[in-house]
Amino acid sequence: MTTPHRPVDALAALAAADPARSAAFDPASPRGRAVLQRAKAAAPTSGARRRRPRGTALATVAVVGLAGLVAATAYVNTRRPSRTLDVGCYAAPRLDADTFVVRADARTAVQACWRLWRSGRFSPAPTPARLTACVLPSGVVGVFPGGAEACARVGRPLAPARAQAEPRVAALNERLDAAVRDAPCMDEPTARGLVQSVLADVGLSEWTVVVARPYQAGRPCTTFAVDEPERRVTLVPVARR
Amino acid sequence: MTEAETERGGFEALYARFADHVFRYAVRRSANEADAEDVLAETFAVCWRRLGDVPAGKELPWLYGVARRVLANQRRSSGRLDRLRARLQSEQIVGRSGTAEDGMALDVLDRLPEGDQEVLRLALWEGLAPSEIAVVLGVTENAVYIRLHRARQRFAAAFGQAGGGQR
Repeated sequence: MTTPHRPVDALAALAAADPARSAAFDPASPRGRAVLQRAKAAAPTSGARRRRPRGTALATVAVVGLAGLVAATAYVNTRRPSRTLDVGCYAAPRLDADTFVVRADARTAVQACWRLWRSGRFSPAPTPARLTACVLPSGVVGVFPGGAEACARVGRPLAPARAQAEPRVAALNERLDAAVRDAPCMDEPTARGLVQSVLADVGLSEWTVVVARPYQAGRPCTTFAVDEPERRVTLVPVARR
Repeated sequence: MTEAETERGGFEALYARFADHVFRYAVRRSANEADAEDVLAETFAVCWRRLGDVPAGKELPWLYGVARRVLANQRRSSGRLDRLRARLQSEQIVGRSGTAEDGMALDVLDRLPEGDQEVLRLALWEGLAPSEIAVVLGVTENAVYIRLHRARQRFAAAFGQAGGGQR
């Protein structure tokens, strides 16, 4: 006869098996400061991040609720996105809704998200009748189900109707992606030379090249981060894949 | 001090307090520490953008909730889930080189439904209370109690069947 396993023993065994028990991260170390800089580099400029006063946002929502379509179409504040490479496709007109991030490539942001909806990626949510592109606090385009009122609901300005990736930035990104595919482990000098060459080719010579954190034995290879608002390419050391 | 400077100060204080916690959260769910650093950076980028939304007193569960979505998006968009599973199967995940019982416990955990796995990790590894787990998962505290109870039962049963603790 076997003895039933006591839950307390099993849970103690699981608690002891914590894979991160020896992991540590010092935010004040050079490594910690480098990650902080990466986080800030991915953040918008303060001007783009500043929100409308809460009262204004609430008033906007109230007006939309009361006046319906007329008020919704009155929310015509349009802004150009500062980051055009990535598009956030949202499952619902809420900033905390499920999101897929896709590349804009040659399609408009709305077209890129329609493809996801049609492929059933948002299932079981029903396919909406319309999608609308808004500019998120980060400067990225977010595409929400609904018409112009969707941007008002999330408190963001509309994006231009044909918002899509800036062609030179898209070309830069495509060339760097291809380089990573072709040369899976590029060291820093090679990566830096490649980026400078591609920047010149696509007409972005004024951009700069920076390194996210020191290269180490465990991270000898490079991946690239294109920072459109700051006009720079960051070399990010990564482990060999 | 300008509004922007105040926000920057608040942000860096959050980073100083919680970066280590978020990093270890990411290590537990990533294939290696480089991936975990990516999750950490993206989580705090989101935190920077949404600084006004961080709930006072619940900062860490809120950050875990952001990290959870960052991980989910990364896996969806780049096929990392498949690679992560492959690495899990080959036992190359960070910290997997523990005792035989550690390995068994982790293998049993991997076989549970994802919802069970996450609630157990949050309770046992992140050490969160049910009210904090509710913030991470975006569900009610009552729902957490129910999920946690069921997950514990399922884990204990599976661990016993696998021969865990029979030494």
